[in-house]
Amino acid sequence: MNTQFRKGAIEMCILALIDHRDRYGYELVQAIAVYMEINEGTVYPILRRLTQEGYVSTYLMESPHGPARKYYQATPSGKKHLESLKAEWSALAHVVGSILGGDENDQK
Amino acid sequence: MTKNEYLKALASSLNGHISREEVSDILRDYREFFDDGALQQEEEWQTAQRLGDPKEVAAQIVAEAYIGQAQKKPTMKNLFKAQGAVKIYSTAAFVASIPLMLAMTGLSLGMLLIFLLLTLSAILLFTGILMAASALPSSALWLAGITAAGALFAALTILLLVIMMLRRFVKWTGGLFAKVITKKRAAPPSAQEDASQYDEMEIPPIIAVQPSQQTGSPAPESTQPDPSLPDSQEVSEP
Repeated sequence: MNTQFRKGAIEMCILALIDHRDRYGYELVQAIAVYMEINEGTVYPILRRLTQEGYVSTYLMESPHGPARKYYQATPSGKKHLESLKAEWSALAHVVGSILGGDENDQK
Repeated sequence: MTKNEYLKALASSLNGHISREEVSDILRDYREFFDDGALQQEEEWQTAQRLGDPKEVAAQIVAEAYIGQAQKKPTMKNLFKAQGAVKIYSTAAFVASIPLMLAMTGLSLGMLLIFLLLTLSAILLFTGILMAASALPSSALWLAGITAAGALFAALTILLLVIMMLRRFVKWTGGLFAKVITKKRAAPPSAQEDASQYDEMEIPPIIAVQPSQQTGSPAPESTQPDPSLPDSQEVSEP
């Protein structure tokens, strides 16, 4: 699949996953890797950028098993960004779906 | 590859590109990932494999950092850095920035050439007159001297213009470049639109800027700077 396309989709998935609840890196990567085959090391760079853009905030929390973990949390602007990404995505999915399904062909 | 080998490789690919604090913060993240992997009974080499080639991971981090810099501060240096970094993982964005870079280079080279020619003509005129000075009346000498000085002055004006225009152009290009990249990020599913967006991007900003600069700068004595006006516009038009 087109890498640019994938990257955008992964970005959206990351936001959606931490929108439900705060997650730490390994957990987040694991959650995505269940559904998609990705280069797991590239999730962190995306998280860093989302943090710099103000869509995601982080905090450290002690874990019962070892050293502190960094948790990622969606900010209000991140939630807003996610909503617009979702809207764009479903609009595109709808159009592509109709074209692939051939619904539009009859009308022209 | 063990955890330590992986972190070392990552650090060596990152150092020199981004600040030390950022590098150590990034290493902290990946160390945590290895530790969490170990908690899940994962061998270090398995975790390393999951993460992928540290060089590739570093390249992506560096690319993101440079693009961020170029967006915040579109200087020539940052632009070229970002362009180089983008090349690593996004050929499309790189290709989109090529015409801008070419136009910028062409424009500056053209203007510099005019500057050099004018300086050269001034020097030639001056030395020529000096050599013939003994044979000519003093009034002719004065006239020639003034002409030469005028040509020099025109040359300097053009140099000033070149610098001013370049600065504007770099800023403008930077904004456009950043826009192309941001568009690409913001709306990845419609990546196709990017090219058309970029084509539609009006040139007027720079043309609108030029006349004001032309009138804003000290009025050149001779008619010589004029060739530069249509010249530069032609270059920036396509």
